[in-house]
Amino acid sequence: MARVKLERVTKRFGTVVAVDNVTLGIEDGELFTFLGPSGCGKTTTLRVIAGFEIPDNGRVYIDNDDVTFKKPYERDCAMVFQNYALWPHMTVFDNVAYGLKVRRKRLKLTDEEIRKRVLEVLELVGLRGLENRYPLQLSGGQQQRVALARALVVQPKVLLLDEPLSNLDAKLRLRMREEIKKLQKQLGITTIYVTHDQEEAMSISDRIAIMNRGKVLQVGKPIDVYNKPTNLFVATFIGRSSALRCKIIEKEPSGYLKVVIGNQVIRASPAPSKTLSPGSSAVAIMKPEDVKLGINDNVIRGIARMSLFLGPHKQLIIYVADQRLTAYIDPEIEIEPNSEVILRIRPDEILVFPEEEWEEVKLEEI
Amino acid sequence: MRSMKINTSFLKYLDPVLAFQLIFPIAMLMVFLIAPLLSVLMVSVEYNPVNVFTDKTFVSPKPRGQLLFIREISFRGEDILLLKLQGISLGAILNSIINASVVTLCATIIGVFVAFILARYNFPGRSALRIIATIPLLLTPFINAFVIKKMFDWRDGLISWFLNDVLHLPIRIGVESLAGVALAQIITFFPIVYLNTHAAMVNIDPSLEEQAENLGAKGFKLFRTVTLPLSLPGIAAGAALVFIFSLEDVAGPIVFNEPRLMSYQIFSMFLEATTGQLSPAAATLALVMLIIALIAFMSIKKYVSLKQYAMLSRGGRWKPRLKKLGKKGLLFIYLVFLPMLLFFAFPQIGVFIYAFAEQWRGALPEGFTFSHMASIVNDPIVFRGLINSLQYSGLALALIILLGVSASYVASRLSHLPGMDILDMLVTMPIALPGLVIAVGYFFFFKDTPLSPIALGPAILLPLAYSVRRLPFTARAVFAGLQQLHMALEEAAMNLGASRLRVLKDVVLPLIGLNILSGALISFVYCMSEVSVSITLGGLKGIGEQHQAPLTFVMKDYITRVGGPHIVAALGVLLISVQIAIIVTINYVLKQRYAYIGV
Repeated sequence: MARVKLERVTKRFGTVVAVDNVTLGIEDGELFTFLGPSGCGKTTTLRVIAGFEIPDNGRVYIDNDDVTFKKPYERDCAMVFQNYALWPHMTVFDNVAYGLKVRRKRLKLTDEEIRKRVLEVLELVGLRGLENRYPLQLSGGQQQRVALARALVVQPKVLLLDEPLSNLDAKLRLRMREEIKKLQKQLGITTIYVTHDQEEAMSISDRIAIMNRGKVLQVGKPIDVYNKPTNLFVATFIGRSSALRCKIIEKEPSGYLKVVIGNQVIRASPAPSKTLSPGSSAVAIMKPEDVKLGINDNVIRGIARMSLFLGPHKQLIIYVADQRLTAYIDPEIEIEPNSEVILRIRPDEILVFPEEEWEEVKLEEI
Repeated sequence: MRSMKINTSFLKYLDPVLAFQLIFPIAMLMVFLIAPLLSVLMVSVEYNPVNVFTDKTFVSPKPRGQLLFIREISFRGEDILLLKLQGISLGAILNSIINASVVTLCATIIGVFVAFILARYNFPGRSALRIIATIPLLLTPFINAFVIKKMFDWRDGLISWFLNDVLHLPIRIGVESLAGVALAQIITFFPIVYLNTHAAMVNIDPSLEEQAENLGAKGFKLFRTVTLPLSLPGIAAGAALVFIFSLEDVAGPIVFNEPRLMSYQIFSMFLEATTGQLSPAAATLALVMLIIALIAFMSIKKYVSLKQYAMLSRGGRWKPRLKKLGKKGLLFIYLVFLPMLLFFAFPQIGVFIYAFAEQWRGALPEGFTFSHMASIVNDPIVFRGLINSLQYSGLALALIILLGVSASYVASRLSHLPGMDILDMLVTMPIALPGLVIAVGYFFFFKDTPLSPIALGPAILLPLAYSVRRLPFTARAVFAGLQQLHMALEEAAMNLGASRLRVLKDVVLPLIGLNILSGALISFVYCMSEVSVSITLGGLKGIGEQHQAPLTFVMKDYITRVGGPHIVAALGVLLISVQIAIIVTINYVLKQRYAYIGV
């Protein structure tokens, strides 16, 4: 158990900056997640912490030790690999026992103690009785558990999980996600988790760092990242928000903004700590669950193009002055395609960001 | 400043084990590959290379000889038409180039043809034919060329016997001198093109051909527009190897007694080198050979890597397209194709006949005996050669494994390090280097050192030369294994606290052990049957009691002795047995091979 600190860490591969000047701290016992699209640098950051990559700049600390240049085998952070990386020539028992065997001298372990600890951890992950199997004889979920047991058995200071659930089917993924969270809280082990799945990240994490193009854009609790994005990329990456280009008309004394989308004026809130002056172009972000059918004092009209039944709700795709807006509506409601709809949305649920941040988002959408 | 910083950060990844694996192969290849090649260049420049090009032996503007010799003669009391294929000489350098080109062209046409039939058509006995097609690859130095010479001997050859004595046609056919060398090389080397092309064709995604058929292409048009272009990288790789092997082949010229080729010229200069001096002209010839071989190798390497698109399309494994043959096709296979393959395999069959026949002077062999096989043990010179070769090859093999595993590991695991492609190049290049060039280079580079082949004999330099020449086989097998081995398997061990050495021992070696084994076995076979360096450097101390010469030198020596070919054939049988045993082992072993990672 330990704290991890990254200080101005930069890692380049040739001309590509995989990790760009990242500084952050991870608390003792915390489950911390790096979330971002593929190629955003989250896995590289994890590999820097594990010692598989040495940063070009910056420092990595585990507790107060500077481990930047330490070899992977000197760091005491156990990793669960995306493809599990189980050794096919060793049984489940030997796979799990490996870390202990390597440390046998240092920890003065006897065969009996190793056996006991391996069986304990196999019990913990629910694999007791399979210790003599080979990895090839296990299902994907069982392989995942072996990989987890192999990392846990050495009682590492830090547990690193690199997209651990991405190779499992949807149902198993949900179950393993619960189990990982339960185990992590039970053992109180500092855990760093990497994923591109926002739902997975939000459900499992104490805190999330959202990354794009090597940079950490926002660090915070899942609910804060979801509700209070500080950045247009985060706002569009998290949730299924719509982004509509608009122009700022004026700032009201109340703090709200008056913006125009197409030719419709609507009230909205400025994103925190952004300078948005009247007359400038901007982007308005709306979550589909906040966009509702009906009238109040803040409405916008559009043409309903299509509705998609998703189960708990129906996704309605509306065009407002050629821009796409989605809303989740009651699945019972039938809407004629190409009919006009009126939508209401509270001003504090529309977040306005300056247009400059749009470029970065657009690049990701290609 | 910035680049300095990046370089030092790369060094941070190195631990002592990796550093050794990086430095050891580079140092060894610098001393035992690059330095000797450079000394070939230096000696050649010092000597004034122009002399070679003005010498009529090497470059002769006036063509001599004739391609086809036709005459009516009276033979054994019968008037017959004698047809002899001989060849025109333009001096050794041009002859070698022309010969290699002709051999490459013919071997490529035959190889592609055989590959296409075996890769795309299904018929009963196809797998047996696939085996027959590779028989010519079984290495039987000197004696297979000797059998070909015997087949096409116009007096006592099988072909003429069949035409004249069996069918009573008044005609006898002979293939001699330059044409004989070319024929022997075509038969020996076409399977190289066949195997490369076959592999390429099997790797073509069937949907690519199906798409073309779907759009209306069929038959030869389909072959010409889709199959052939997609197989070209494989064909080109095979053709380049044939060209280089033909250029440096010295067994064919020795058997056909054809000195008007570069390889024979270099070889014959070594015959006089026992005195301690090697003509500097050898260096110039070696340099010419080296340059031609390197051009062939480089251009093909670039071309092949540019055109590796046969596997470009996505998708998992597929069943190669196999068409069933109709009646006409089956007739063609069994009446034309099969006899053709058997004809190409005949040299190896002939080796067995020679090995067990009491004598074979006329058209047909006579008697049956085990005495030639027994000579392998009973003849002290032969037995000594066998023991020498086993020792040299064993030593070479130890070095090959250490070099091959080290270099491949570093090349695959530090592939992001600048200069790694140079290491890869150093390790794979020897496959394209004529052995004679290495022999000449070793002679000049080491003659004034403690390793001098004249003072010390070949016992030290020969294993070193073998290990450099045969390194690519093991290095490639290991590299292929390492590419299958996901780096995460090693990282997982390191992550749990295992040092690099421990990771190698616990994870890498157990998982690529079979690759190392199969690569090493192939390297071993090619060490045992190595010719070029063995009959040049290897013979500097001559053969007698307690000689140091390897087996292939003894074979070269015996092939010209009376009754000698039978003993060489017996050795050929021994080599064939070893090769078959090893091929069977590897196929069995490779079947066992498993590459496993995650899902």
